[in-house]
Amino acid sequence: MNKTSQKQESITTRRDFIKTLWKIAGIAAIFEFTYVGFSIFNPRKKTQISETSLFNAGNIDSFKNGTLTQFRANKFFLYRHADGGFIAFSVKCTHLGCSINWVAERNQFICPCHSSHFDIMGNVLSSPAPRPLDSFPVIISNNNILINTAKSVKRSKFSTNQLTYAQ
Amino acid sequence: MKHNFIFHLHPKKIRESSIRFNLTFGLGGMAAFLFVIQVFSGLLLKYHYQPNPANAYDSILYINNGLIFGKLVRNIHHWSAIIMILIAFLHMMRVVLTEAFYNKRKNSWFTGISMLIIIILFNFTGYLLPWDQLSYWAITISAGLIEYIPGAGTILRKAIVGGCDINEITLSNFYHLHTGFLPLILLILAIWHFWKIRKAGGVIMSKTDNNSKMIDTVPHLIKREAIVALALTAFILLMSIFIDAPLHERANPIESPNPAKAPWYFLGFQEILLHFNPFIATALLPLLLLLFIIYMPLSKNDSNTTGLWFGFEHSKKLFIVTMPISIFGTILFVLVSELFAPQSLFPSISPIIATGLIPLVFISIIMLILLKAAKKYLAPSKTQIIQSVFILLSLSYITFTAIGIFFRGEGMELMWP
Repeated sequence: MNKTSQKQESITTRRDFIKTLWKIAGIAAIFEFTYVGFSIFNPRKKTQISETSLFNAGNIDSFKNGTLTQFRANKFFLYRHADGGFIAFSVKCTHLGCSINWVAERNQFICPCHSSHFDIMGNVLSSPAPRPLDSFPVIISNNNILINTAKSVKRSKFSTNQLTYAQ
Repeated sequence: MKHNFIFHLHPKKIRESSIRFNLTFGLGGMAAFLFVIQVFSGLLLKYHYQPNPANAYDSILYINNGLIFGKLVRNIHHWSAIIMILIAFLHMMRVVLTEAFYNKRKNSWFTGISMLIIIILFNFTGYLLPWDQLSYWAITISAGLIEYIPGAGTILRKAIVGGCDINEITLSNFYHLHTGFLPLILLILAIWHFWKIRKAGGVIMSKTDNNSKMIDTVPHLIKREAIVALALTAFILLMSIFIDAPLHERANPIESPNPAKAPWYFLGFQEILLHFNPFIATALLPLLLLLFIIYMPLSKNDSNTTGLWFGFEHSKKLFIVTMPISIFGTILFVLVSELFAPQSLFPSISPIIATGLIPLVFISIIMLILLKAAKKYLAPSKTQIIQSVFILLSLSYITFTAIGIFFRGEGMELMWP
């Protein structure tokens, strides 16, 4: 009956108008509750996870040029390039996030999960890894090496400007 | 009083042929009963489980070794969870093969698919809780899989994991989803599902069955339901007494096991990701699948064989042809992709073409040829084509999963089990 009466008179009655308002309010409420729900789910952006967490790896003189030092417990590898610059690689494989291993006899990082291979610069030698190893920002102050392990940086390729040098 | 409650769920009288076991195999009822088992065994575990990384593993050890019947209850919870996925999947296949997704049953089809997804999420969130090496790395890998979804991947991963690494926040998220939010959603969906089936006149039946004689629900249906429930309980109890739920070493975020695999029901997906470009595997294929699932009940039912297994003239033939094509086609695809590795064969071509477009076009051409041949020799109806495509996709995914579970060893290399 409702339908036929709507067809006959196309004017909006007050009742229709209020019904429409209810619908809009309902949709708005769904969005609000969804947003609140997701915010509860993901509140850790600023409150619980800080953007910086500096780890002191030690004095620069304790690392020789062209050597790799493992800090597995802190989830990074520190590499001192032949020219003296530092770079910190994340231990996380860029494929699915397993912890990679350094295989010294092959001079490669190898992921135990799906056997992605990386060279010592973190570049991909064999897939499935889609991109080079992520790096952590390195800060050198008072000849101490500080690694910001809270902020991993995605790279597309190794280049020397990713290295940090002592002043 | 007792009968009042039963008649809330069932009508007073039902058609005699609707209780024939080989019409439905009682799969929907089994799934509902498994949910009850899960709620009660889960509640018992909840008393002793501690959802934080420092104590989670120890509390599982306590349940296993210190608590009387603790191990049995944990085993029941574990095996029922796995059986629930299988039963829900078989129930879906039954619905497709008896054409029970058209017209009035459209709504039940959609709530059913939603419930299957919720059941998988249940398994997924429960997988992390023991906090052993198996669960920790499986969830790490699954979170990595989610990250490949274009556009939403990073945000989605962050929302689910609650940050960067799998840690106490993830465990808290998963625990509360698993024991609070998901049961509530599943219960609401299940009630909706049952109500709509009753509105549609009970389980699907063929035209002749619809004229069969009316019989009393009590005792005829109730007796059969009780038999199915008891048999299932006995099966799960026996399984739980003799086979223990896996528990590996305590989770160690520094050392990945080799090989590290996603939970078993995601292994098909992980296997597909080994062969296809991430964009294809995580966005395009799931999207196409979703569209197909939505299209199924909306398409017109051109058959008069509703409620029959293999009701069409050539249904059985079509089924017998589809099955090996799907299984061996998938195996062949994995072998070819593994041996020739299109990415290394054409390193100069962008990966989205080499591991995306090329295999996709190749598969599409084969599908079209098969469809043409089927149309020519078996003259299938539209419903039959939908059923065949559904069987094809399901069996293909099952094959991918089986390869992922049994034929992937160290470094995810192909191997003999």
